Amino acid sequence: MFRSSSKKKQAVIDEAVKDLNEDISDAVLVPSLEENMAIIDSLFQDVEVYKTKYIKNAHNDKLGFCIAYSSGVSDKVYIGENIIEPLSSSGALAESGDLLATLNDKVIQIPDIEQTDSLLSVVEAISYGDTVLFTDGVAQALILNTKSFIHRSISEPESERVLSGPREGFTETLMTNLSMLRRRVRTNKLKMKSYTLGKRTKTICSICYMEDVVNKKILQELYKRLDKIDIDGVLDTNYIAELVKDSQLSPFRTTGYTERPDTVIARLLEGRIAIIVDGSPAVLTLPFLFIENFQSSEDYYMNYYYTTFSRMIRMFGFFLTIIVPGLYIAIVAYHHEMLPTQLLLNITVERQGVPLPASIEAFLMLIIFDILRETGVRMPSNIGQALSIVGALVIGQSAVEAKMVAAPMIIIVALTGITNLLVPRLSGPVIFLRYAFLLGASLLGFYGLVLTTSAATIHILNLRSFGIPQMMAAGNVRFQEVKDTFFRAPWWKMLLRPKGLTKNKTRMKSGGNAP
Amino acid sequence: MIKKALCCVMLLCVIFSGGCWNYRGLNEMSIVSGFSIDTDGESGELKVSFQVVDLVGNIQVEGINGKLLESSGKTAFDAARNAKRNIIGKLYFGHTQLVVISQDIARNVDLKDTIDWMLHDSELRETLKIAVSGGETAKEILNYETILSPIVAFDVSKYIEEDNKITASIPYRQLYEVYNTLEGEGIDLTLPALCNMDNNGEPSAKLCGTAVFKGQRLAGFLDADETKYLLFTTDEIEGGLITFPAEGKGKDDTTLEISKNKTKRSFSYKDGKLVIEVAPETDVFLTECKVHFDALDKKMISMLEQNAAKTLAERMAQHIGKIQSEFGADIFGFGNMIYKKDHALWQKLSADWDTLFPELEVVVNAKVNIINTASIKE
Repeated sequence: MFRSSSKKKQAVIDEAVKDLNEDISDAVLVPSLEENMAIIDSLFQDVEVYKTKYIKNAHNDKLGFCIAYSSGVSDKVYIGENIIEPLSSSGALAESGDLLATLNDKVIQIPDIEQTDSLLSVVEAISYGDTVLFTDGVAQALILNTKSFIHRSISEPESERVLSGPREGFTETLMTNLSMLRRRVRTNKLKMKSYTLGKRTKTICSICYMEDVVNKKILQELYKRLDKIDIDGVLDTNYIAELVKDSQLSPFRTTGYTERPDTVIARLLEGRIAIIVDGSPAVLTLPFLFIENFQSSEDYYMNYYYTTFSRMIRMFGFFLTIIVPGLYIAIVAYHHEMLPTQLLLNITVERQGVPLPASIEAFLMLIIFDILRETGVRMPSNIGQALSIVGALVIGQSAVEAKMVAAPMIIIVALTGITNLLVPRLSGPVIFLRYAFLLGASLLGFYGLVLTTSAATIHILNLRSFGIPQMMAAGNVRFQEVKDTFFRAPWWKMLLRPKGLTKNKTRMKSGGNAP
Repeated sequence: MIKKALCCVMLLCVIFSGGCWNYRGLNEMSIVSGFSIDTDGESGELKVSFQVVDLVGNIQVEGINGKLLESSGKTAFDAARNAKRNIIGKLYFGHTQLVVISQDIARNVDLKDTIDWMLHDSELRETLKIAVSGGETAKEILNYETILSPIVAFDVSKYIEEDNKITASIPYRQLYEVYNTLEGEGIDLTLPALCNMDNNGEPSAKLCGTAVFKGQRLAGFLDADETKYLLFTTDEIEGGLITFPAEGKGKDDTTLEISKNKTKRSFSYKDGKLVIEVAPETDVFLTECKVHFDALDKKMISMLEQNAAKTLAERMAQHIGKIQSEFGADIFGFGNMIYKKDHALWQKLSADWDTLFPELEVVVNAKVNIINTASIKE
C-alpha cells in the first residue's frame, strides 16, 4: 500500500519534470521562493555540480534569499565575497522599497547583472557558470556573472604556423577569442553579435563584422541561413559551415576557416564576416574566394617578391598533385610519342617484368599512399618511426627491388604526396580530383584527362559562396582585381578591397610613399 | 529531367566519338630505333632490318643494347608485320628516327613508292630522317656499333641533325621535306649518304656526303667537301669551315669558321637568256692562318677576305658546273625559285627545263666578312 502510493507520487513528479524538460521555454518564475527552488531542484536532479544556498539578512529576517550555481564553472570565493557576504550583512535591505532595485544598486557587488523571469534563462545561466539569485516574494531572479573556467592557454596554431608575424592563436573560449579580436581593432565599427545555436548545447556563437565595410546583403543572407538551422548540438565551426554551404554536394569548401586572429581581422577589413563558435578555436569566415585556398597570412608579413613566388609554387603544387598520376598514365599507356626517346627507354627498362599494368599500379600505389597518410594522422605520435620505416623502406625500396611496382611510379606517388602538402586547405577535394583524373586518363588517355579536367574546371568556376562567385570571371580583368591572386602586389598597390565582397571598395586613397 | 538525360547522352557521345585510343603497356612493345630496306636477291622480296632496342638484358651493367631483327615481305609494311612472327612485342615505330635505303632500291625503285608506307602509317613520324647507304647494302650501316653507342640509328640521326651547324657535309632532310621536294616543281632531291668506315679496326657508320636524285631515282653521289658548296648554293649552311690559300694560289693554308651565312639567289631573263645569280655573304671567324701578320692590320684582313671570297666563288661555280654537266639534276632548286617568283615565266620554261638546266649560266658573287680574329694588340 505504502509502496504503491510512493510510486504513484514519484510518477507524478517524474511526469512534471518530464514536461518541464521537454519544454521550459515558456515557463516563468512564480513569486514564491519555495516553489521556485522546488522546480529548479527538480530540473537539476542528478546534476551533482548544482549547488544552492539559502541566505537570511541580518537586519531584516523577513527577507529570504537563495542562490543557485554550478561548482567548477563559477568562482566560489567571488560568490562569497560579492554576493553572500553583502546579502547577509547589508543594512540597505532593512529599508522597504523596490527590493530588486535595492539589490541591484546597493547590495550586490557584481558589475554584470541581468534580471529575468524566464525559467529557461535561469537554467542556461546556472549551467554556464552564472549565479542566480532568487528572492522570496518576487517572481524575478537576478543572473549574476560569476563565470570562471579553466581553459587552454593561448599558443600558436599547429596548422597555420608562420615564420614571421603574430604567433597568437584562438583557444576554445569565446570570450578570450573575442578579446583577441577586440584588442586589434579599436573602433566601435567592429560589431560582435551573439547568436545561440544548438537546441541542446545552446552554443553561443559570435558573428563579427565591420559595420561600414560589410556587404549588408550577405549579412542578411547569413542570418536567413542561420535561422533555418535546427540541430541539437554545435561542437565545431564545421557544423555551421556545412549547414550554411552553397553547393552542398561539392567537395570544395565555400567558407573559409582559420585559427589566427590576425587572419580574421584581415578578412573582416576586406568586408567578410566571421563566425566564432564557443568551444572551437576554428573561426569561420565568409564569403570565401577560391584564391583563399592558396593564401597564407604570412604572404602579407614578408617581402612581396618572395611571397608572390611561394604563392605561385602553392598553385603549381595544387595542379601537380591532382594531375601528375593521370598525366603519367596517359603518357605511359597511350601517348608514348610524348616522351623524349631517352626517357621512354628508361621508363620502359623499369617497367620490364612488372606484373601489373601501369594504371592499376597507379591506383594501388595511390591508395597505399593515402593509407600511409591517414595512418600518420591517426596513430599515436610515439610510434611514428615505425610508420616511416615501413612506408619508406618496405613499400618504397623493397617493392621496386622485388619488381612489384616500377620505380617511376614511386617517384610519381612521392611527387603527388609532397605537392599535396603545399595546399593543406584543399587536401580533401584534391583526393577526389586526383582519382577522377587518373580514371579518365586510364580509360581514354589524354582525351580522358582533358574531359575530366574540363569538368573539374567548370565545377570550380561555378562555385559560389553566399552568392559571390568563388572564381574571378575570365573577361575584363584589371590590375586591382588580380593584385592579390596569382601574385601578391606590394601594399602600396593594393588600393581597393577584393572585388565582389563589399560595396565600400576603397582600402586606401593613395599608396602613401609609393614610388 | 529531359535536360539531364540529354546531357548524359551528349556526354556519352563525347566519350565514344573521341577516336580510338589503345591502352598499350610499355613492356608490351619492341621499340624500333631505325630500319634499313634492301632487296632480297633470290626472292625479289624486300628485306627490312629493324634495329630494336634491347631492354631485357643486364642494363645496369651493360647499358641499353640494340638488336637487329631481319624480316622480309612483299612490301615494307608486310615485312614489318612478318617481324612479329619471331619477336614478343609488336614493333613500335613512334620513336623511329632513321631509315636507310640501299643504293640498289634507290636506283631501281621510285623513291615515292619506297616511302609511301612511312607517310601513311600513323606511328611513324614525319620528322624521321631518310638516308641512302653508300655501301653495298643498307643493312650494313645498322649492323655495327657506332663509336660510342650500340644503337646506331639514334646516334646517326643525331649526326645528321647536328651536321649542318658543325661540318656541313650532308643535306639534312626530314621525311616530310623529302615528300615535298619529290612533289615540288623545278627541284630535285638530295639525301644524306651513309657509309661504313674503318675506325681502329672496326667498321662504324659515318656521314659521307650526298646522294643526288634525278626525279625519283638515284643518280649519283657527292663527297662531303662538294656537299659544302651545295649547301652554300641552297642557303642551307649554318656552320662548318672554309679553307683557302691565303695568298690566292697554292695549297689551302688558312681556315675560316662560318658564323653566319646568307645566300641571296636571284635570276634575270632577257631576250630568251636566263642568268642565275648566287651571292653568298658569309660572316666568319679567322681560326687558322699559316701566313703570319698583324691581326689588326686592316689591309691584310681585307686581302684575306677578298682571297677567301674569290676561292669560294670559284669552287661554287665549279661545283654547280659539275652538277649541271654530270647529273643534270636541279638539286639547287633554281627552277623552283622561278616557279615561286615568276609563275608565268616558269610555265613557259618548265617543259624544257631538263635541257635548259645543264646550259644555264650561273654567276657566283661571294662576299666574306672576317668578324673576329681572336687577337688583341700588344
